[in-house]
Amino acid sequence: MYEIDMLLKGFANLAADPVTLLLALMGVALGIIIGVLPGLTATMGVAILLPFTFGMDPAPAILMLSGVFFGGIYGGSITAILLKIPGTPAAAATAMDGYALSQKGQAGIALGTATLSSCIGGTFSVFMLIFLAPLLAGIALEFSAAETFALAVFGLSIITSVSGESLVKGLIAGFLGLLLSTVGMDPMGGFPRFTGGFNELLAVPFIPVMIGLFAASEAFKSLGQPASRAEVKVHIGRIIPPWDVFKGLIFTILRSSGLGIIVGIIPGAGADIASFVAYNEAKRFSKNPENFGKGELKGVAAAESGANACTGGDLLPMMTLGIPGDAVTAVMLGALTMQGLQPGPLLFKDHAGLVFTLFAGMLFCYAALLVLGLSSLRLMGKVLEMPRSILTPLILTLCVVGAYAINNSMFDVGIMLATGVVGFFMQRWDYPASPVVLALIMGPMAEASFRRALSLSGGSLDFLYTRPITLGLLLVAAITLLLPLLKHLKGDGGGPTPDGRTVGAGTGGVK
Amino acid sequence: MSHSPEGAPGAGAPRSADIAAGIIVAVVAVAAIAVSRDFPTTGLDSDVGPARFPLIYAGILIVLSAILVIGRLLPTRRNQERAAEPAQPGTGFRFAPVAIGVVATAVYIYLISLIGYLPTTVVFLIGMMRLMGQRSWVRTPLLAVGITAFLYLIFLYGLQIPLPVGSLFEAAEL
Repeated sequence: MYEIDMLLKGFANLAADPVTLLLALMGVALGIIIGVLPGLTATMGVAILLPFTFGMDPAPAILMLSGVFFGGIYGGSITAILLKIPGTPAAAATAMDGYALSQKGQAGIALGTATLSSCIGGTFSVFMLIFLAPLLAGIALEFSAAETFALAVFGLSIITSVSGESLVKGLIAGFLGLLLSTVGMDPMGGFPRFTGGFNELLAVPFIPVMIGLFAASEAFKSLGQPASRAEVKVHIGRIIPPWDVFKGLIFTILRSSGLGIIVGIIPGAGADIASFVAYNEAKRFSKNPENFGKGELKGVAAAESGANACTGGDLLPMMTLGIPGDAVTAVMLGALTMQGLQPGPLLFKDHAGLVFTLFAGMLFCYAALLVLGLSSLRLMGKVLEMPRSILTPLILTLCVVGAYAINNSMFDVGIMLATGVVGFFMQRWDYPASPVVLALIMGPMAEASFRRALSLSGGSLDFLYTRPITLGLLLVAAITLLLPLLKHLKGDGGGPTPDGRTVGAGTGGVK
Repeated sequence: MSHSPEGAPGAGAPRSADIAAGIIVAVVAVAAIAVSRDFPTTGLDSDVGPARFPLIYAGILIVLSAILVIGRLLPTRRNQERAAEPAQPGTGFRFAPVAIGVVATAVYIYLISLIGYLPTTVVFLIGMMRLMGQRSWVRTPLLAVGITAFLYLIFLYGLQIPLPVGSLFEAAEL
């Protein structure tokens, strides 16, 4: 079979390149540390590390970032279980049962289960990616400008509607991103728009914007938070769950992995939503749902396998269609573009060898995550003792240096600072940051393909409704945007909360 | 609802913030419209020209910001509930250090271009660590020098990117 053949070749490529494996391993280790530290998310980790991969070859660069991504999603569970502090938003669901288990003296088993579930969920999702991606890319290869336009609109509509607590704020964030995406050369005529005469603005300085929105803004936030010290006091005990216990979890892990993959594929929905969906479903399927929240191992297994299964799901639309599944994959898309690889169907045609080397490397990352995770659990207490008063200045410096390194340009550093400040206020006032970044990616895609389609059709808008795929995608986009609006008008006036996010805010116990 | 103790944004920004943000967004959109009016038109039937998309986005943004602001001004149940809620007691979040940090970062960035990465970064790190409560006069400078040197070397030798030496020194070299 083509996929298996290519995957084996990918493994052979990797085996011949130990430096790449080492960098992937470093990525996973860094990711776990970033995940463990509260306030540092996988997105932030990938954004900060991205400039460091600039000079590398594509395979090690992307694999190192994938390692940070996977490790970051998983690492949050460790603090969630030990301290009830979700290190990342995705771990909020894990905290509910994980912390209860640690109080019962079963912290080790909970951590072991979280590690195993993360690894299994993630591995499944990478396999799904390996088999579905070439298929989807093959279909997308047939897309013309009209379909690409519809796809971009579809992606944007879902993203803005799921990513915030308030639809209006999500839409504002999305359209601000779209407006920003028009800065630079107009895609048809090459007319410079909104550049103010700065040559640096001929293309949107995408990576500095992401570093600012996802890393600098967090660092600024952390400046205002009172000093706190986390200390692990629980006894960890046995780590690997006994087979009898684990046997009972297998079905939960499989179901949650499936759910996580699906949530991941949906643009805009990331690991935080996946873990809550998986957790809620596990509770619904359980014979004794009343145990959930009081230390049910299935809750931990569901949340963690769901969150990590989301990773492969997120990568699928990003790699095959150029539509990132969430903020982390948006940053990864930036990394691919920086390496001169344009994500989309052509990636699978022109760089199939590299793509399968990346897939093989991602499987390696999850194996590494299992080994590193299980062996380092007892050290994580030490990581947590790293004071914020050192971490935050370090992150700010990394933001400045990283933004500079992309183009050797202080102008980019200024952009980073400006977006960092904007990002800080967006966070405080409940505007989601991901729609901005995703719109920055999809805005040019939407505009360029719309105008290309229009010029192909000689100025007629027929392409919007005469092509079945285009029409279908545009209809779904319209429904996605109108549905919450209708609910809002009919319902209680509260903001739509289609995901578990409010649950997360209430029970996460962020400290 | 939930302002977590961290001061992380929970549901519900203060009303004034929503209104201010709505106005800022509207101003940005109006400015974008004003600028895009000067974009050239193509005169072709088959192209909408460079101004069309920014105009559409800006128009929608104006509508959205109006919805946001009007929604917060109307005497709805939600607004009244919020108004009736006692002001959030200090969640421990302080704006002053954030403002100092932002200004310090801006000055740091400006000084990098003037006198280079090495001296400024050491000073910036020491200053920020002290701002965040690292009071030791031994550990803090040591850490600052260590981090600065480590990053400099990684960029120089690992990534072949020399960090800036500053325009003043560049001029002196000439």
